[in-house]
Amino acid sequence: MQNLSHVIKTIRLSEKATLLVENNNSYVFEVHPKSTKQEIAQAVEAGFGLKVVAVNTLNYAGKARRKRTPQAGFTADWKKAIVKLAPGEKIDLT
Amino acid sequence: MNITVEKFPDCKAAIRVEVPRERVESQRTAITKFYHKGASIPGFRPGKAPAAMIVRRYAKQIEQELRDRLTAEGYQAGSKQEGLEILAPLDVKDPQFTEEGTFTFTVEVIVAPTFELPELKGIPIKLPKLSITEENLDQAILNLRERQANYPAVEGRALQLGDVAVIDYNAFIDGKPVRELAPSAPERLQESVDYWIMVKEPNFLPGFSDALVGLEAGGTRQVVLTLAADFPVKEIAGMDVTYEVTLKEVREQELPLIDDEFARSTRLADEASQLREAVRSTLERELTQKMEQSKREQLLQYLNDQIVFPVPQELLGQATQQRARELVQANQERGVPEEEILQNREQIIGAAHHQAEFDMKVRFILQKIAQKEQVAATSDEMQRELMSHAMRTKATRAQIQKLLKSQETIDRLRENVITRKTVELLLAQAVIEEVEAEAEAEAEAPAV
Repeated sequence: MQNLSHVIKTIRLSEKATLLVENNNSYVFEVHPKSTKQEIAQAVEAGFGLKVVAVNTLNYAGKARRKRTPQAGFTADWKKAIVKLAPGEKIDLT
Repeated sequence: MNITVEKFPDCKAAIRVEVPRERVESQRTAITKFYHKGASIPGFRPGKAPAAMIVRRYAKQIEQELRDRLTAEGYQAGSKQEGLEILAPLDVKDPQFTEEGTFTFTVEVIVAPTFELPELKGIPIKLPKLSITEENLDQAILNLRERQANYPAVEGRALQLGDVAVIDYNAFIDGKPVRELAPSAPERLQESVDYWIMVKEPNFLPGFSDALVGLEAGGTRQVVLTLAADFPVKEIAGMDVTYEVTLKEVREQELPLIDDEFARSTRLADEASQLREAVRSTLERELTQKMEQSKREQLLQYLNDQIVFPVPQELLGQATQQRARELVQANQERGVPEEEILQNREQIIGAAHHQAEFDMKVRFILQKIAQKEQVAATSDEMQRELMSHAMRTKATRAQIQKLLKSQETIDRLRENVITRKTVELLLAQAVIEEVEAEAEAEAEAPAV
């Protein structure tokens, strides 16, 4: 991955993500599956102008999906990144 | 709440309300909480989404709800605080949140008209001295007999007054059919086949019956009549109309004998000897009802004439529409053709307007009198009113139960009771003067 603009796909808003923001100043992103922790940190710092302290990533395999046919399809594999920001830094999620 | 009221002369008022900041905030919080509890946002269980997210997502709805609630609350407070008798809200103007966080709006309302009541004791009422005379009784019994009369055909003699003629006729004015000149004229004026007419003036048109006398069955005659200058069909008023009449049959009126069978058929008495008294009591009952009706009408007319005030035009407009609809419906039920109703549109609306204004004015006056005299409806009276309403409308038990749940119906029934009692009170205090009758009471056949 070279192009940083392709790294972050979206920010995930959920109960768990909200708790992480409140308790850990960490934000959850859906990122490109081939992106690295360094690229994610760089993308957040460049995109939001913030200081990143840590990045944790999790890979999710796509789920099997059937639509009126015996052959199973799959949803796309995806990667989740939990990005911890430096104290005092924040992203407005509302 | 800061409330100011400005009254206008035409039964309108403007209530300006300023809701304080604290109240605005507490209502906003309550509404946001409500949305927070029920909002379904992906990724969050209901009620678990962050408040800021709810506020942002439902900003428009929360704002609208807040405006609605504050307006309703302010309107209620305004109407109570200033003791206004509001009949209906008209419009809410300039609702806005100020920089100080307060909420201001102006609501225009229709208020009950204000007026002074005159002296209510001794309202003059004139009643004609009417009684049931022997002639009235004779006429009423004759009417009853005529209803059951037979009309056998007679042969070998010419038509005479008192007969029934079965005729065909066509009418022309200057050689042209009547409806060509006056399309609004009823068809019966132009032509008819097998038309039954009692040969008696002034049936059909004045002079028509007299002109037929002497005609024999199968004979034809041209009858030229001059229509009156005030004839209802204006296009042909005052013109000469020629009727070409063919007499098909001469029939004689055969009245039934007054015997026990006839008495029973009238459903008024079982025996012929009792019939006269039964008819007398029916006529007397009708006369009493007529007198009561006349007293009531005079009383309401007096109140309407004595007390002058403008009625709210908006409500009058609605009432006029409603009354016009009723008049049109009544005409349709009577079989008046659609075109004739359309032609008389202006007259119908004028009559509806007049009636609606009278009713509305009298209603305001009676309400005020009821308030002043503290007329109230007891629960017994309400029950009786409900029962009579149910009987009038032939309501079932379920419908009555439904009625009881409707506050609107209860209020209407209560108003009926109070209005009736107020009228009775005024009539009890009225000065009733008996005057000589201008004309003899019409002896009509009693209702059977």
